[in-house]
Amino acid sequence: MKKVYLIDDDEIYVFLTKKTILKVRQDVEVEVFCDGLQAITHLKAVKDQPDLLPDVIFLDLNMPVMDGWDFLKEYQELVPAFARKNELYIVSSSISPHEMEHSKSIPVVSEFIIKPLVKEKFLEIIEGL
Amino acid sequence: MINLPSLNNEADRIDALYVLEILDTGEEEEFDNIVKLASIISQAPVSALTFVDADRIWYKAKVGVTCTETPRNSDAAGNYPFFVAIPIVVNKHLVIGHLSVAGYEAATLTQEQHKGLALLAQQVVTLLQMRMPVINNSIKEFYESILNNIPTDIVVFDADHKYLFANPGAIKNDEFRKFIIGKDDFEYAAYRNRDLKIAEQRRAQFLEVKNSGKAIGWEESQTDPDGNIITFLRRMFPMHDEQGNFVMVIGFGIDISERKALEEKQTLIMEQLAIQNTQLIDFCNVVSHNLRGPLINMAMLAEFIQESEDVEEQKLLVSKLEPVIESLKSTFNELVESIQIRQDHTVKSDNLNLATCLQEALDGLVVEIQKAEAKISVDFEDAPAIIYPHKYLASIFYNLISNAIKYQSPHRTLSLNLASKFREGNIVLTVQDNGLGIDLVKHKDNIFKIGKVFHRHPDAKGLGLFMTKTQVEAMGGRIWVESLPDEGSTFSVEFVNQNMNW
Repeated sequence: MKKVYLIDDDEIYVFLTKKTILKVRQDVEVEVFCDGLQAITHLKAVKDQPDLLPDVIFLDLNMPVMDGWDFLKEYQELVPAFARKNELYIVSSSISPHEMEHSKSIPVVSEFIIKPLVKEKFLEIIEGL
Repeated sequence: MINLPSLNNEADRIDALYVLEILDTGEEEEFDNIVKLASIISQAPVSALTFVDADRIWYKAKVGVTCTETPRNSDAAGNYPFFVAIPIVVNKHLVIGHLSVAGYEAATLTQEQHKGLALLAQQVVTLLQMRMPVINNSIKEFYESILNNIPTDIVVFDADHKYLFANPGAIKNDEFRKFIIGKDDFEYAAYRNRDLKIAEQRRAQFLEVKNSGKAIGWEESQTDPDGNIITFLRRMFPMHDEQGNFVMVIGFGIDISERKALEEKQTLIMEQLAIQNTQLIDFCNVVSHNLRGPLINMAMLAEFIQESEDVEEQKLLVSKLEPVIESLKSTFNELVESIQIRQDHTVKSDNLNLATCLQEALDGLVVEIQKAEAKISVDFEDAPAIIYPHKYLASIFYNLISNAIKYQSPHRTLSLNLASKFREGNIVLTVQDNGLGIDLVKHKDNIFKIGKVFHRHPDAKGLGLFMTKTQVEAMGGRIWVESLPDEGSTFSVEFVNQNMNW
């Protein structure tokens, strides 16, 4: 079983992305967090438990309470303490070149994906693990 | 004893001669009398007044000779045993000709006779200069007409800061202009019954130029009798004589009000452009975040509906389309409206009662207010009415109050305080709550931007404050917020130009 975290406040998008993921791979478990704070709180709690840590994180940027950028700041600090390695992808509806450029300066970000996350891209990521 | 003109300064000498315009003129009694007198004084039979041109010697007046001109190198004097020539000198050192006497027998002149001839030579210069006013006057007229008509004010001060000259550009009134000659700014200010401040300032500037020997320039604004602001570009510079002594100061001023107004207009346009550019970037972000998001969802939903063969699943997917379309529609409408607000410069302002307008907003939120059990206190005593578009004021009240309800603290009952204060012609409306508050350190730049939400709330779309800001700014006002997380927020709206009689 692979574990995927979806951090996104758009319910419908989350619903559809989950559907997309399960359509191509049934051996994937998706956990959803509707803002950065919920996700980071959870990660802090499970950082020592390899079974509960994700293989891949898909992170939205524009969210209430704690947005994607603030999440990344805390996440970077937390990564060395994780019991196992994982990948993180930004998945945003933003097409701002400034945001894309900024994401490249953050080492923990594997790639900036413009929404939607399509089947082919997801397969590429999950099979590359 | 031949006294030829010095060849030094030949060019200057010729210039000085030509300016006098004496060459090739007709006989004149004054000059004829001079040579007659010279002849009598020296008891010589021959006498002549000659001017030395570039290549000839020209005779203006003569006694005892008939020639009118000779080549410059001819030795006419050599024909006479007795010959004396007194130079005609102008500008202290330029020899332009001679007053000569000659005789057929050798003779010498007494000192008295010499003196007499020298005086006559001086008299020639005086006569020549007396002919000049014709030229002087036309030059004077020429310069005066320039000085009088040039769209610049020009003044000349002597070494003691007294006026030597002022053109009509500087002082329009003929009487005042005549008065000021020989006076200083203090005397003029007293005469015109004016503030001495300007005279003091001018004196300081004059002394700066006089003492430093350098020109100064500055810009100066005045209000004319019609209340228009006129800006002058002024300069003062010193004049020195040949020995380097300070003699006078010339001052001039050019009216640059039009240029200034144009500059201000350009600055304003630049500011507006900068604002519009920011709005354009905001707009692109909105399109990116608020429109692209729902569109992606719609596209994905459509794809799943097409792929699905299960009718129940199709129904579920279609039902999910509805809220997406709703959200897209409301974002789109807000955007269109915000553009309309910015473009509508003719929106009508009315004299509005704040309390009445507030009640309308409260009526629209009656369910929410009851549910929140909100306590609302109002103090509009200081400024009970404003001049504003009704639609905007209603929307400002609605958005600020519904925001306060939306982001109330779960730990305490919502309490809202509304107040209006009159401040220097403007009215400031404050809406204070005890709600969740906003972390301003983090969100300072984003708070009034479209699509920014700071709390988990099902209705949070981040559109209200953006709209309120657009409306407030369209009317020239400002909106700002003071807030502490978990203590509450105070939104202030400034309505400008509210001077009126209640």
